[in-house]
Amino acid sequence: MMASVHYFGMISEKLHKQTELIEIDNSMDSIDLKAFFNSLYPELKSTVYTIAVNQEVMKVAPKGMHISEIALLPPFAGG
Amino acid sequence: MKNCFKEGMISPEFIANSIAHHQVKTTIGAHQIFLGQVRADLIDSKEVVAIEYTAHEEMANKAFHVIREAAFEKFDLVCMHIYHSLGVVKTGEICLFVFVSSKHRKDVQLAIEFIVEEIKKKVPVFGKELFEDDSFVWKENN
Repeated sequence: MMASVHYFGMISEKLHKQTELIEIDNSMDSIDLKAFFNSLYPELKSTVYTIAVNQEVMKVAPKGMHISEIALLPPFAGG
Repeated sequence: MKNCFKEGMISPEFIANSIAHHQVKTTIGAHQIFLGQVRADLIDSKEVVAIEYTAHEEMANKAFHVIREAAFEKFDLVCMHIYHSLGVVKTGEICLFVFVSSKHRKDVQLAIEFIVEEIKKKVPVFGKELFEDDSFVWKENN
């Protein structure tokens, strides 16, 4: 399925993009999202970030999960 | 879902008006306010002149809502308001305004501490500390 992926803060700056569509195949197995994105963009390996799927923070997307939105969130700086 | 964001700084006039609006709520006996202000930190001998805030706005507004519900659950509050800036806020300007009201002081004192800590930990807001020479560093909450 195609997921809408959103990049924020320093991640958006590193990748030179804010959003893109990525094909995610979740039919075979659960997906280690950090490994997936670090492999797709090796420059993220040295970056601290969390991942939200459908606006819920998670590390592994279970097999068969409907994924419409993924967000890569660098450390928070609110307040 | 309430939008807790305001573009640019939160003005002293806006804060004063918020206080004034509570004069009709006569069950309130105590207010507590937290104001976050952009600080002119020195980083590698360069002074911060502003912070540019961005956010995952939908997630952030949900997180503000969850924090609000948790605060009402934990403390005996009459009302509560949170406003956070987006975009560029200069040093000395206000970027976060948290306003809680209750019958008694203890509830608002404890609530404000809880709410501000939760915001810093759980709300996806990102900050770019800008210097005068147009360079920047990414801010990170402790």
